Amino acid sequence: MSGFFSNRPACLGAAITLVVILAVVAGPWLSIYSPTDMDFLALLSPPSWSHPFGTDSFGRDVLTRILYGARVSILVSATGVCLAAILGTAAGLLSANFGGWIEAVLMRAADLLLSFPSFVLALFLMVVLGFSIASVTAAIMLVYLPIFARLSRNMATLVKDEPWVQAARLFGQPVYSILAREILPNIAAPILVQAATGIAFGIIIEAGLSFLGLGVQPPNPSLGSIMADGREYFSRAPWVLTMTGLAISIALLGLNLLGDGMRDLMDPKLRSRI
Amino acid sequence: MTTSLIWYSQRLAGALLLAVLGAALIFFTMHAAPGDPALAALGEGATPQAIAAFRLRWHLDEPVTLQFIWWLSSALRGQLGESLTVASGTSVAALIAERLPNTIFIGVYALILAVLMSIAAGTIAALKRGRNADVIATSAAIFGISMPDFWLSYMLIYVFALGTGWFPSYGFAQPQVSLAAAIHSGTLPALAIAAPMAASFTRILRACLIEELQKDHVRVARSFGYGKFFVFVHFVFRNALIPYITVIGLQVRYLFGGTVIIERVFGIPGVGSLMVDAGFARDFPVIQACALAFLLCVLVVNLTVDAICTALNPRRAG
Amino acid sequence: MTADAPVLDVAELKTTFFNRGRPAEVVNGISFSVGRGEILGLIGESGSGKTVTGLSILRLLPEHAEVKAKHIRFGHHELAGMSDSDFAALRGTELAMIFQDPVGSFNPAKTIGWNLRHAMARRGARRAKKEEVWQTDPLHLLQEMGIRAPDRTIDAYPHQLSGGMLQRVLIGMVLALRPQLIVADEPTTNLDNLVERQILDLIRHHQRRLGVSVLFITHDLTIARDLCDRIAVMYAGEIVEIGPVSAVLDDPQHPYAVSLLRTARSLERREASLFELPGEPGRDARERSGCRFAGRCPSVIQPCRTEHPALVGVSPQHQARCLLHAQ
Repeated sequence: MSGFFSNRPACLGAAITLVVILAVVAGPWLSIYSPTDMDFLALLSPPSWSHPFGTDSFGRDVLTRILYGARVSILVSATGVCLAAILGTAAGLLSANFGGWIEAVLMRAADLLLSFPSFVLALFLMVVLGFSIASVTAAIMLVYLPIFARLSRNMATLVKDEPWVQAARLFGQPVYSILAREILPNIAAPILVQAATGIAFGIIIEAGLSFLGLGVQPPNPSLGSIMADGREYFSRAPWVLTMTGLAISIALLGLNLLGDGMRDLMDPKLRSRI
Repeated sequence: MTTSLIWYSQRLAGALLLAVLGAALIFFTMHAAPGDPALAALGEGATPQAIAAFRLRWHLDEPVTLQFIWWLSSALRGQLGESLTVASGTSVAALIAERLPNTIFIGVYALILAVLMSIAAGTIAALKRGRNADVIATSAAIFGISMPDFWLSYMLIYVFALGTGWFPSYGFAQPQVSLAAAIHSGTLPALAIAAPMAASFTRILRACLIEELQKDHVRVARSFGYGKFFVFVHFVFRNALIPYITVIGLQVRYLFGGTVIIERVFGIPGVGSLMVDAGFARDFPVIQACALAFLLCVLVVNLTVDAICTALNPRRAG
Repeated sequence: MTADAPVLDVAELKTTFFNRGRPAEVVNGISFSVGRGEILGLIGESGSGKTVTGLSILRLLPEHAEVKAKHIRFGHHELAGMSDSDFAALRGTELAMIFQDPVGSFNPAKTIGWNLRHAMARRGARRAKKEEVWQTDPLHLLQEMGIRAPDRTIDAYPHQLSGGMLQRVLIGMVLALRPQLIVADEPTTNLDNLVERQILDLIRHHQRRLGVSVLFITHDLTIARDLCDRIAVMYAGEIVEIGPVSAVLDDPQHPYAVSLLRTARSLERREASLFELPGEPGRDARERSGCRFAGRCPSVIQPCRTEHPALVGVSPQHQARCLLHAQ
């Protein structure tokens, strides 16, 4: 643990992530504006003390809208990635443990899903499932499912031949117990790292989808739709789109730094190049 | 030589299998989507006879599996159906054929930019490890993977198109018409797609180079007194290439995903923007075909990367 | 050995590693020389600093290591304080090194022939009059090094050859450079016994023919006895005994050398209970103020713990760092 605190970028990442979480959780309550308050006297005004990120074409405070939109984006991405982590890890553990045709089928299926560009896959699913919060979540989950499945299967394959696992088997410990108690804790770390980076990229996917209009639909706020609005008058009032994107970038920077820091903690036990 | 031929054909067979399975996945998933293709094509006010004729023509009343086989066999013959709504009546295959070169052009352009940028940044970061140059490169890289690519494209537009006017902010000149114009109008979109990829590639190359620099054979080469540049190119970089290319090969699929949004932002007539338009219009044949096209692109790239890695790696070649 | 000036004359070589700013001294001011055509053995356990000594002379240590010396005379050159670019010109031409692990020493992406040709090109235009065919032609070099199918080997990749064959190629490459001094760092440790014998014979044969000087680093006393002219025994970063090989091995003066010999003999005779010196060198050996071996020395006396012994002569050529011999 002390190694983590000496890693300055990781601490910065943790700090940023903490600030972001606080802002997103508490911000909407603390903000004096609501995301739909329109101030007709301050349409498209640049950043100022009263509106740190400026206002949009309806006079709505951009910062407040970002905070509300971020809630949705983070919720969608985190839920999708966590579901993917749970289901994917289960699939990977089963593959590693049983091998044979189970492994062949599951890993081929994962390969198949991974043969599609992530965004194309997400877009495709949105068309099939309709545009809603639930379908974006499902899309993100399906994008990350094969990634977690492969990761957990690779890690579990390395671990399952370790002496303590073999000992547990010899003692007659039931399979599911072995998977849960012996193998899983040892592969949890790389899975967490992947989850951190996954949530970050998942937010980008969600923002992209709603930017195109194919994701979370208004009136539900979403980071992507704020940027889509901002695009309309970009040359006149660039701050709407710019500040939203900047906020996303900084928040994800924090998450990625945190993920990197967690991975450095595990090095050289884990060697991963991505 | 025959062993590698066998190996290549195995990989090719694997890719074909994935292509067919992928096509099946696309088709059956699409079939599960709500909405009636006939109504979508003909509109709400269509007569029952028109609808029946439409359903007959496109085999919509047959069992799903048969429909898939029919679709697949037509696809192999180059027939992908007709667009329902986006460009009513136009052959989907023609639509894709018209737009695919643009997408591939931008994609390849972006890939080249990403690789070149990552080689420069990754080399500097690895050689000057721990020093300022490395810190700058690594920080830029981690910021690069944190930002949404469509946001970057607007930043680029603001500075280089609206600001300095060096590049157009919208539109694309097709490469068949004029290569120079295509390169010019394609620079900002390619950069927008390339930047996050370059960031990721830089981190990877840096790690690969650092690992290679610590290997024994590098020290042996130095003990022979070979020049620094020679040692770097032939002993360090050459051997780091294999893991580098392997990993970036896995990430190239993000390249295609990037084209989807960026094509929309810059108004490039490619498969990505076609898929987005079709998505809004619920034009199922087009969406299917676009998804299939992207799948095939990824599979082709994976095969190519595999071939390159094998050629570079004496342990696997021959 | 000869009256000529030594090929290598090292005085007070000191190598320090910096770990996060904190210094850790690995080699503590050792001095030795290697004569023309002579093989000097550097004996020690792992951690004694013998490998680092070799790497220090060739400037192949990582960046966080610092090498200092009063002087390192090599032929006409003064290596200590020489610029990196001047030194780089000497590496591979006058000074060369044979490493411990032959398998990892080759560029895995290139054929043996490629590796050989580049080493020979390093020799470049400096053609000596007495150059032999095998020093300029890769195929002949492989043959000279005892490789049976040189034409297949030359097109092979390193992973296709055994450790023994790779070490033969490496030695051939180094010899073809015709350096004045070769630092050999345990070149046979990773090989099995039969191959080891062959490689040592190869080294001895060519060393005699070419008259090249060798600093031979090893932990194996048997090899030292067979191969070396003089040996220096290292312990915890210091040379504790140095002299002609027969003198040191038949009549060791330093208690550490004595115990090394006893252990070797005990192994040879397969004694029922192997003689073993208790304890380990340990990191604090280097920090102690007195003799570094005091903690494990069976003949230790009280002054040993506080007074650091200097190298004193038992006979003109034979010196030991022990208070028991200081007059």
